[in-house]
Amino acid sequence: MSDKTFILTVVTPERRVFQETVNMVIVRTTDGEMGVLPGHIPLVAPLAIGPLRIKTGDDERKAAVNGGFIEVTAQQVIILSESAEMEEEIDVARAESARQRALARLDKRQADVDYARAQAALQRAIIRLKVAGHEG
Amino acid sequence: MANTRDIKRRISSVTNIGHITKAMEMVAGAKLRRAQANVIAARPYTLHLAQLISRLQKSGLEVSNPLLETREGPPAYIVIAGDRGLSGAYNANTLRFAQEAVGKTPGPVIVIGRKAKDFMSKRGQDIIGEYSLRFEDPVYMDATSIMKPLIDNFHNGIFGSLHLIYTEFVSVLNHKPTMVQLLPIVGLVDSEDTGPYIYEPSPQEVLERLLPRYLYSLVYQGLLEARASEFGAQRTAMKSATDNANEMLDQLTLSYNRARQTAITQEILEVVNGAQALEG
Repeated sequence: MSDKTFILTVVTPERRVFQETVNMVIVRTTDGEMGVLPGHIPLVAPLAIGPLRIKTGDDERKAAVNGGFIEVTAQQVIILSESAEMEEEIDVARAESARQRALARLDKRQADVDYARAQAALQRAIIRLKVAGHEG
Repeated sequence: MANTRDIKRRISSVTNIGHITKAMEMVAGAKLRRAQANVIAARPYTLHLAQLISRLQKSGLEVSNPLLETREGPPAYIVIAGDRGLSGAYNANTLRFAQEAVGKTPGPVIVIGRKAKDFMSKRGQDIIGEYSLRFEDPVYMDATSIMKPLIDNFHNGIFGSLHLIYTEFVSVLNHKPTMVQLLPIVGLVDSEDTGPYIYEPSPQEVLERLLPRYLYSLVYQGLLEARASEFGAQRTAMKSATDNANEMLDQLTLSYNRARQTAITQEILEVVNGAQALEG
């Protein structure tokens, strides 16, 4: 693995989730998966609800990111998201019950159910479970 | 002079009040520290979003968004105050400031906190939305659920501009009622020129996603600052209540001792007089 690095910062409205020197990140943008290596051209792109993979040396860490933006500059990469958790921070029980709730809501097929919202909630729960290593 | 039993009763009730206000002061202090940390933790996110937007605007790319455009229509106001009293002049100051602003250019209000609601409805203001901060810390979701319908209202032309009135947390002892304009979006921070960026899928689409999130973060920031100011005011109010109780206690103790002394003197006099009467 290359010894080139950049600083990755993950910021949410509530806190700074992550800030470290890393070798590579892989995010899911609204257009699909994207890998960022040091020296990437400056870019701003919206993110989808998806996993974030962070590679440092041989080590790989994961995080669940609920949309937002990635900003790549020459020196650093900033991820701005409305919420994000590192894999070890994820509350599996809570994510599982959120998944059940979202499924139940989608199942009912009632007029008053906001489908887009339930879909997004389901998506978030699935990604959280995946990142935490509990496939739903 | 009051008798010793009455004074003793008052001493014990003032002591109790002192204990209660002291406890409330400590609780407010602990909450204040947490609220303060939340205010600081929220700043980087808002700042980054503002920088992204201003950079995009200055990039020379052709982008536009209705949220950035001035339009006709009355202003609307979001007013953040507390849910309860016991916080000194906090609510009064904030609401007097709000009343002045709304009085100058009238428009519908969105009230956050029971005190704001009571105040505005008593004055016959047109309330188009009401929320409560409850007794917990505000979370980001509170800001999105407040702001989302308001963005739609702006699109539908229900009001021409939107202002946020809250108490800015300058420092622990300094809280200042302020008003910031939310819509149309103005006054973004300056960003240093960091060269051209690629915007994917398109600059227009990135802007469309950035703007609402920026608004949510501003409202969130306002909620947090208002909360921190409220706890700051509450702690100060409880501290002065405790100080007053202590002062009162000193005075009561003094008059208790005097009353007791007088009673003893009286008794001695009676004994001496009685003895003299027997001798004589």
